[in-house]
Amino acid sequence: MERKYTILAVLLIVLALGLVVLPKKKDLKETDPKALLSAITEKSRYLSVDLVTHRIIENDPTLLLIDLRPANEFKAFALPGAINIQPDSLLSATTLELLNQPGKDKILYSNSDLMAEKAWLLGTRYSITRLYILKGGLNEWYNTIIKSGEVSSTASSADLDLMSFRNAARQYFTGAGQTSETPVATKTPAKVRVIRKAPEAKSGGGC
Amino acid sequence: MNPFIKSNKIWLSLLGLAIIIVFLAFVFRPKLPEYNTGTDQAMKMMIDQQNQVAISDLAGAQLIDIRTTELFAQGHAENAISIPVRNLLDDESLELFNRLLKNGQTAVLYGSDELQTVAPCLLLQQMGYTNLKTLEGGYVATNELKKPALPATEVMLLDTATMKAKKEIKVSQPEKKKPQVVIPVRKEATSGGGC
Repeated sequence: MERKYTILAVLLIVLALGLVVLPKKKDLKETDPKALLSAITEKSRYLSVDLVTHRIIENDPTLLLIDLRPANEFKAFALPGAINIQPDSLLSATTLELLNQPGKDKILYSNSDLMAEKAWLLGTRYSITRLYILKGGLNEWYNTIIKSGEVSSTASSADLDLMSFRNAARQYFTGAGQTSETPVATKTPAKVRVIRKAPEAKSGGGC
Repeated sequence: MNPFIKSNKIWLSLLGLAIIIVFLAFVFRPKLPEYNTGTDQAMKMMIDQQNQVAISDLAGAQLIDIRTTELFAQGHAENAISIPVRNLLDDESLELFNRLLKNGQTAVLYGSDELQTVAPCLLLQQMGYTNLKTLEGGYVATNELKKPALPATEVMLLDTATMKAKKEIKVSQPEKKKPQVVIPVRKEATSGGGC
C-alpha cells in the first residue's frame, strides 16, 4: 500500500520537474520569429498615400490612423482623425487595447517610414492584426497630395484621374482654390422687414 | 513484490518509458529561433537612435548585404557578405551572427535603402544579436553606398502654414442667412360702424 503512494509521489515529482524546464509563459501572444521574417518580406503592409487619403475623405469607419511623431509635431498638424501615440508607449495596456480593436485597420505613420516600420515590427511580434504603414509617411503624403504638380498633356486617362483626385484632396485638406480673392459673403445682420398689410376698406356700415 | 506493481507492471513500464521519451525529446529538441528580449527591452531597441552607422564609420564592421543574390552579383560593397532577407534566420546565417557576436564584432546590415534593413535588424536584435546595426543609407543604382535624401528621414517637411489655411478660410465662411422675419401689423379692430 505504501509503495503505491511512493510511485505516485515519484510520478508527481517527475511532472513537477517537467514544469520547471518548460519555457516561461509569455504575457503577450507572440508571432514566431520565422513567421515574422516571412511577414517582413511581404509588402502588403504598405498602403499608398492616395489610398489612405481616399479613405480619410470617405470617412471610412474602419480606418484608425496612429501618428507616431512627437506631440509638438502632432499638435502642429496631423491627418484628420489620427491618434498620437508615442513609440515608447506602444505596448502599454491602453494602447494595446486600442490596437486590438476588431474590425479596424490600424495605419501607422510618422514623418518617413522608419519609425512606423519599427512600430509595425513590434506590433506584429505581439500579434496585433490589420496593422499597416502609410508608405513614405507624412512627408510623402505632403509631397504627393498637397504639393502635387501639374500633369503633362500626354498623360494617360488614369494619370489624369489621379491628378484630379489629388487636386480635389488638396482642396479638402487645405482649402486651396478658396483664395482671398474668392468673394466671401460677410456676415450681415438679419433684416427684419415689416410688411404692412394694405389697409382694408373699412366697412363703413352705418347710414 | 507489491501486488499493485505486479498487476500493473506493463502499464507502469509504458508510463515510465513515455515520460523518458518526452523528457529526452524536450532536452534534444531542435533549437528554433526565439526572442531573447521582453517587451521593455524590445521597446528600448525600437526607440534607440544609436542603431545607425554612418558610411564613414564602417571601419572594423562586417557588412552584410540583405538584397537579393542577383542584385548582389551586379555590385556590392567591398567585403560584404550576401544574406538575402529570406535567409536571415537560416542555420548558416545564425551561425555567422553567433560568431560575430562572440567575437564582439559589429555587423552592419545594408540594402537598397535604409528602410529595407530596419525591420530585419530589429528582429535579429530582439533575438539577442545586439551587435547588429543598420547602415545610414543604402547601396544605390550607381553602385555605391549613399546617404538617404532628406524626405526619407524622420525630419518633418510639412509646411504647417499651408495646412492651417483651411481653418482660416473656415472662419470666414458665410453664415446661413437667417429667414426674414415678417411681423404682421395687427389691424385694430374697427368699429363696425353703424349709427
